[in-house]
Amino acid sequence: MKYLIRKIMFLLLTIWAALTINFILPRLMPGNPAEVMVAKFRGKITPQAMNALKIAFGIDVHQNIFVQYFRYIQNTMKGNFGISITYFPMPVKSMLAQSIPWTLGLVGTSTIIAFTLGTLLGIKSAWKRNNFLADMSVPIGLFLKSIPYFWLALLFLYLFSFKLSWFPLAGGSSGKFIGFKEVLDILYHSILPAFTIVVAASGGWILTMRNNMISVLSEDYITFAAAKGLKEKEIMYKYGARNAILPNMTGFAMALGFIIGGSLLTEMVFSYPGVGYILYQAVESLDYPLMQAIFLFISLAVLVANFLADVTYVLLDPRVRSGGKE
Amino acid sequence: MKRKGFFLILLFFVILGVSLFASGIKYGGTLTLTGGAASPSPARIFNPFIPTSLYGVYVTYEPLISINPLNGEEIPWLATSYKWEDKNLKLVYQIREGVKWSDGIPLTSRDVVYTFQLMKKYPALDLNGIWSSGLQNVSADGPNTVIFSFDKPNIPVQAYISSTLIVPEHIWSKVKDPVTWTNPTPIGSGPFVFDKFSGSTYTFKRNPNYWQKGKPYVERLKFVIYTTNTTATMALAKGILDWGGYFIPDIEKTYVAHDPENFHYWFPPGSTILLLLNNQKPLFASAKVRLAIAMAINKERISKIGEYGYGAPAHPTALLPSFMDKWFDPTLKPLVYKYDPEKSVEILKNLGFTRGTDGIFVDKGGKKLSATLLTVTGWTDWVTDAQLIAKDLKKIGILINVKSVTYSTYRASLSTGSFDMALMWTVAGPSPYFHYNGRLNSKGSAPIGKTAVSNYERWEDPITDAMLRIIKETSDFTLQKRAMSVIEKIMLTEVPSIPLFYGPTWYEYNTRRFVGWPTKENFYCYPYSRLVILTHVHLK
Repeated sequence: MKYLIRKIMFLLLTIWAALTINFILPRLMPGNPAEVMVAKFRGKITPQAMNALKIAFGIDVHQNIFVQYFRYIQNTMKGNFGISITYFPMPVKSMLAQSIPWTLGLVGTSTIIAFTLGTLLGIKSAWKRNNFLADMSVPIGLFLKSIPYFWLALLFLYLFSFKLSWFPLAGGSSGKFIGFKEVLDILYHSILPAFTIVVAASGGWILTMRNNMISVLSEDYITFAAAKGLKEKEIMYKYGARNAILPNMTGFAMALGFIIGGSLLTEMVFSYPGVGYILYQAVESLDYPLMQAIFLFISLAVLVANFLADVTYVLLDPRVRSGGKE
Repeated sequence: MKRKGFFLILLFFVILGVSLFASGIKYGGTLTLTGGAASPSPARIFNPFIPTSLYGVYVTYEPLISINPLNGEEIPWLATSYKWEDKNLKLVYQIREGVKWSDGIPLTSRDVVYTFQLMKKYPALDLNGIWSSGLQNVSADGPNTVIFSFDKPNIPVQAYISSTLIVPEHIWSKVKDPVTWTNPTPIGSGPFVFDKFSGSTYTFKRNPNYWQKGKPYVERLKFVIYTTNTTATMALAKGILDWGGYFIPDIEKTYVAHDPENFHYWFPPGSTILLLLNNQKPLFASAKVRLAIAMAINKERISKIGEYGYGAPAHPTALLPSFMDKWFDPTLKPLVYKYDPEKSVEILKNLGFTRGTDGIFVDKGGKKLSATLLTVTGWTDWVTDAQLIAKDLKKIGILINVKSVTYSTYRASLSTGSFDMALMWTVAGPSPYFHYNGRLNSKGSAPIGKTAVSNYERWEDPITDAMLRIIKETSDFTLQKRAMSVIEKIMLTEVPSIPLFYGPTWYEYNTRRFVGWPTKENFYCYPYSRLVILTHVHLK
């Protein structure tokens, strides 16, 4: 119990720190959004526009930094993130509401699939060593882990969408259907991007899980369990994997936390309407309100996911429960 | 019997087909085009006063006059004509009769006056600074005449007034805050009306009551948005996109080769990319040094290697090729400088600089001639250009440091003057005045450390200012041209900045389904003018 209370206190403290850093960082960036907006149109809008945009974005309103800070904390508590500059005059809230579901659906599902698949393959390949297929998983995993994702995604897009026309070129849906057909349409659009994420991400999970598993399998209690005559499956999962998965849980929690941030490269290559690309645009255009809101959600998600991982530790590992005292 | 019926129907369709062919123009079809700046989840914004709006606004709202920024050609649109009166203090527009908003209410001079009053009331909507140009008042004189009164003549501002998109008073007057209004279902006077919005695409359909009788010919527009040029290129090469405006490397192979008969492109020069020299830095204070630098840069090579051959080398006056005939003074021809590094070295030697053992010139105090050239991280063409320039200048004994910074830092450095050399484009406009006024008018300059609005190279010269004022205040073309010639001469002999190459206007079009696109031979409008193009194209 003490362990949990300590963890909760720590969670609250880090959230406050994240909020504050989130406030300071964007203000350290040089330039102002009106200039960037004028420049984005490469001479297509005139320098006079700068003045109009400054008024529209409320940039010239000078305010004490502390007043700004307290107003920011207050607004964040209320869930009021202001108006986006990149997507002026859309409120940040509605831009997030529009894009988060796409990201959660695509990146969330594929991250879970990649983790499950990678972990299972890792367990199997560690268990069945000296088997050709199992041993091949190491070079394959290494290859998938080190291949540049952007290149892999473009290659898949070129092959399966452009050359073979199996999948659509871009977008999250074609917008032609309603009802159940729309669901199918959305699924159809997500297959290729999800596939690239799973392929690219599972390599890492295979390798780490295999390594953990191998070191656990050399422990005495595994030999003892085998000597006791327990079933192979029981040794593999209950004795081996349960212990080997512990370090991976932290990694998985981090990965889950980063889902909110979206997968920038996936969303860029497949023109997918998620948060990652919006974040990229926000950074490019010095869109503080949008940036702050997204960073806030990312840090919250990472912190909460870590907290949950700590809680899971309690369930998985009895040593944590007793606080290290035997 | 059945057979006969079939033949009759067949005959009917043949006749129908022939008669349609005879009239030359086929109606219908869905045309796919780019719907907005790269963003996978477009926000549903159709507010013509906001730059973040989706491109659908350009087929919904219309200007008074459609102006081609590449050659200054004008097509009367919602106004049938305009003229300057009262010693160029009054600009009078005749508004077209019989134009209706898509909800059936007539468009009159009241809507035009309202649009400009709205921009006065909300300066955030006045993107071209029309109300800070000397404009005093806008008023209607009957349902078809609008009068703009000025306190001092300002001829060029006509271009901005003419291109302002006119909005309906009966709708906008009910809006609480037009600056933050997204206008999700726009009502305009244009050839297409809003149809449907669904996530990453949206559609517009034909306006059956459009004032140009019989137009447009296309039934439906499908606007799509791609986040990267790579995906857009694939969509173009598959024939999904009928009309694109993307930079595509090696376009003959990546695009045209997929269907050479129907896939076309044309990249007319749209702006001039300049090498800015900070005129307030001691090294660049001398016109001779600036000329030496200008003559040492191999523009051909920059165009070929840095710009993939798409942006042709620029004329030293920075005039666009489409402006040359009308604006360039041919008597200046002998002053046009050419690539001649040996001459550059000579100039520097004559100025009293001496070459050190490393080949770099030093001044009398023993200081090396060196400068930093700023470019933007990730803008690979500019970075390559900058490296080529550095090599060229090293050959004549000037040491150049290429430094890439993020875009916002770049902008900040330029406007506060904390740079030696940098690349920048010219301001587009229907005459060279817009570009020269932006880059060379001392009003746009500021001392180093203070923010300059547009004259980043900080060229401050009373003769230039005087000539710009003449062009601004007279509607007499001969006089305008004489003043322009003086500025052209300054560009050639004093070299306030160095024109490098022309920035191309990206334009790809597909004739599989639709024809009637502007081409190099039939240049009836600017390739980005959606209003003009979409009232011309039709099914094949």
